[in-house]
Amino acid sequence: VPLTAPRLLALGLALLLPSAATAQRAPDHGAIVILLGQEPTTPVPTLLGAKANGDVSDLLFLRLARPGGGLVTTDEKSFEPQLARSWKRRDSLTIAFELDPRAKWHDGSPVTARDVLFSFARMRDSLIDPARALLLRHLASVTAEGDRRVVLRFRRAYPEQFYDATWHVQLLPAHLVDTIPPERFAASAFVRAPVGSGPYRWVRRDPGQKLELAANPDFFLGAPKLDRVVFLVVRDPEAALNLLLDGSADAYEAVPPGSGPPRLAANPALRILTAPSFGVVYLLFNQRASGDRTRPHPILGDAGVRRALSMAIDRTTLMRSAYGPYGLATSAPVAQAHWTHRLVPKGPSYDPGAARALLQRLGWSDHDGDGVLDKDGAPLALRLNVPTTSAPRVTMATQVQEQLRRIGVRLELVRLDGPVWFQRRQRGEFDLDFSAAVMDPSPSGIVQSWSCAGRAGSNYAQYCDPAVDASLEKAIFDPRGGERDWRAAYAALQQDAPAAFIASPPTLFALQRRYRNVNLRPESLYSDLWRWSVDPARRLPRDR
Amino acid sequence: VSRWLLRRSLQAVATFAIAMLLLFVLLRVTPGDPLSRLTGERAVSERELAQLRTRFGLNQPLGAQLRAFLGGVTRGDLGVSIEHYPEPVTRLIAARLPATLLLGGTVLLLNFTLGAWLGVRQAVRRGSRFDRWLTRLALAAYATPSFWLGLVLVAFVSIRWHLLPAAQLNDPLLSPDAGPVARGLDVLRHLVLPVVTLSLTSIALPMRHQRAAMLASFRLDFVTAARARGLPERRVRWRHAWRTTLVPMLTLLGLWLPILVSGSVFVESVFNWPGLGSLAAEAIAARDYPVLLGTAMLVSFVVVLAGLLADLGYALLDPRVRPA
Repeated sequence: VPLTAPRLLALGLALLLPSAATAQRAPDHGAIVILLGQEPTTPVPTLLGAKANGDVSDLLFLRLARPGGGLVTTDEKSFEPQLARSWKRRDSLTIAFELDPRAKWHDGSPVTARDVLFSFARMRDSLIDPARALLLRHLASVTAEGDRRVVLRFRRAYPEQFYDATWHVQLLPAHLVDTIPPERFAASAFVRAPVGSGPYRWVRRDPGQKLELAANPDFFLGAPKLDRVVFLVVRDPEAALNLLLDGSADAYEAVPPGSGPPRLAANPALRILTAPSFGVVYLLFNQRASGDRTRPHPILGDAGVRRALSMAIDRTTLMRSAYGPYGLATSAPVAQAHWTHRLVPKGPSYDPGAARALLQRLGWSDHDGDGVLDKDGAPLALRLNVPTTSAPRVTMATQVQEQLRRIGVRLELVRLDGPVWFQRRQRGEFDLDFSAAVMDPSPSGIVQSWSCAGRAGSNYAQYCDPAVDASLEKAIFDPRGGERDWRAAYAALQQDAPAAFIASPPTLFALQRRYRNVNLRPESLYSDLWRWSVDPARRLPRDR
Repeated sequence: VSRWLLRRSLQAVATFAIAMLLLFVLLRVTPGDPLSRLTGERAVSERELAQLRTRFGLNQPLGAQLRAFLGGVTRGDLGVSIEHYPEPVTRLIAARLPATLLLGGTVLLLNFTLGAWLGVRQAVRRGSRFDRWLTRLALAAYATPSFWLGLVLVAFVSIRWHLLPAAQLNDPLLSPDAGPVARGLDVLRHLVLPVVTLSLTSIALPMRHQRAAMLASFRLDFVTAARARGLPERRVRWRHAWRTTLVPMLTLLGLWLPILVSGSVFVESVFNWPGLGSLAAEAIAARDYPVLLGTAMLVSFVVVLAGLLADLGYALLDPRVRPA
């Protein structure tokens, strides 16, 4: 066929036109394209791990109940029903859950007590999911009373029993999974096309590109109004912002705090929402000599030096430079979204003069006049490991270096790419480490990193103080424990300064304005996605 | 000829094997923990990490890992990705290869047809205003970083004028019922900007090569003789002069062929193009050894194959280099 001018024009027009629209939908129904910086490869309980898996898994699989809006993990009355219609406490160790008879798996089978027993058994098996098994260690037994009632019995009474009973376990369909040996589960057909009980059902995944879900019209809590949900994997934040700006995508949860907001402000169809997060950023002080865990750290082994370094850091300046107006300072290992955040005592304030005076009292002075403090001939020189994968931490590291220089500390920045930084932190090869942690909704998670028992796990600095352990034990496990105990535990940590806690940055979330009823939950951003709808006046052709 | 072919093929296999062995060893001695991306910022216990290392065979001695890798290769099994677990490497490569071939193939085709044609035109009109301006423009484009040009094109064509999509291989919400024509047009719309970006920044090379080769061939005696015999200029140009430029152009093509599969990391990143270049770059960043080895194997294979094919091509085109 000869390429005449009209034909070329027609082909050009066809290329410029957007793709054909699909079947008509109800006026407030629509679709959404969500950009993820990480790929959800196995969004199935027991195989989670990366956050992206959890984001998708929360739309496919439900728990017995979930924390209420305030995320108070000790208040079982505030929890909202999911697969359990109701629950009853029989005594201080036993809780009975009634399953919702309307709840069904996506293949139409009812959710039964057998599913609950099976799922708890899988999650409590330390060979399958060691992290979760540890979190469920206080659970003694899970038994069924008929098809619709399950009874959970604990070994000890403690305030977060109900949270442990509900949060850590998303239910799996026993009738589809119990024949799959755990060691073959990850590579099974079920993981390639999971069947859940949540508001969305699985459509497909193109590895490295996208994952698509469709509304479950039979969802027992109400049919979702966003009929198609596409998670698009976009590693480059600039490409993600471009996709939002040209209207190809609708939502992005990892807006870079520096360049993102001003760029997105140029498009009036977009808005930026913030949601408190469970993340904390801190400078971790190694308690043991770098690379040799048998010896105490020659400088940071002294709590006084750690306190002085913490006092010399101007958190307000750091946050403004890294997070703009969005950062929130913190002086304890607790995030903005934790219900105990309001209980953190006001820590030592920024006071470089007091920091230098404290160091002098500890014997650190500038004897040779080189601007660096020294003691017994050894300079106060330290190395800070910074992961180059985190732009905010790279930005803040330079300022930390300058702030510590002002009190006579020589800080060498060691910028490392992600895998090397991770390896050195695991091996304890650092003086200071610019760390970040994303925690569970429970504040009790801090024992993993800040207790003597945590030294076998994620307590990379080998911090151990029996007094702090005792405070945490009382706050977490005493049935009469309360706000006063949490305050005491945080104060003990501030006094010991195992790290300089800096910020709890929120999630910066960009969203097209056409979505209504938007509620971003800190513990699971998209768990209320099924309640979102589209403003009929702002619908796009692709919503129809 | 068959002995030459056998010797050349054996050389190619040996080169490929040495490259793979070196890659395997270098990757394992490079610092960095491949489990870093799996765990993210989550607190991870030593026990959990040990379990993950066992799953991926990372707890085995280097020799055992090499044996397992070679054993897998002989069965066509390149292992399982660490970052994309439980996805097999072969499946990941197969999923990314079409996008890379489409982008690389289109650019290669455009550069070696349009670029060669423009090079010939420049040689024919040597010293003219057309020749001078095209040289300046081509060199300016060649000196432009591809990722920068890509960002500029996106800023204007996609975001300001809304003419073409900013990224992706296709519309993520394209109806599953869309027919092949709609799908094809959709891919074409998404292909335009990455192709223009890559072509603009690389077309100068074949163009300049073609121009130089053409000018050299115009000076050859048999071309002068053809003109003296009164042959039409078009015939002299294409049947006589241009044919002699095929050998140097074939050399260039041989060097360029691996781009077909290696992709362009920067352009794939700017346009979120799901190709092998970005897969390899992610694998490097995550120390995903199996994926990295898989992609490197493919690229090495194509490099070696391209060299072999180029040698065969010379022999076919030029009787002087044919083995006796």
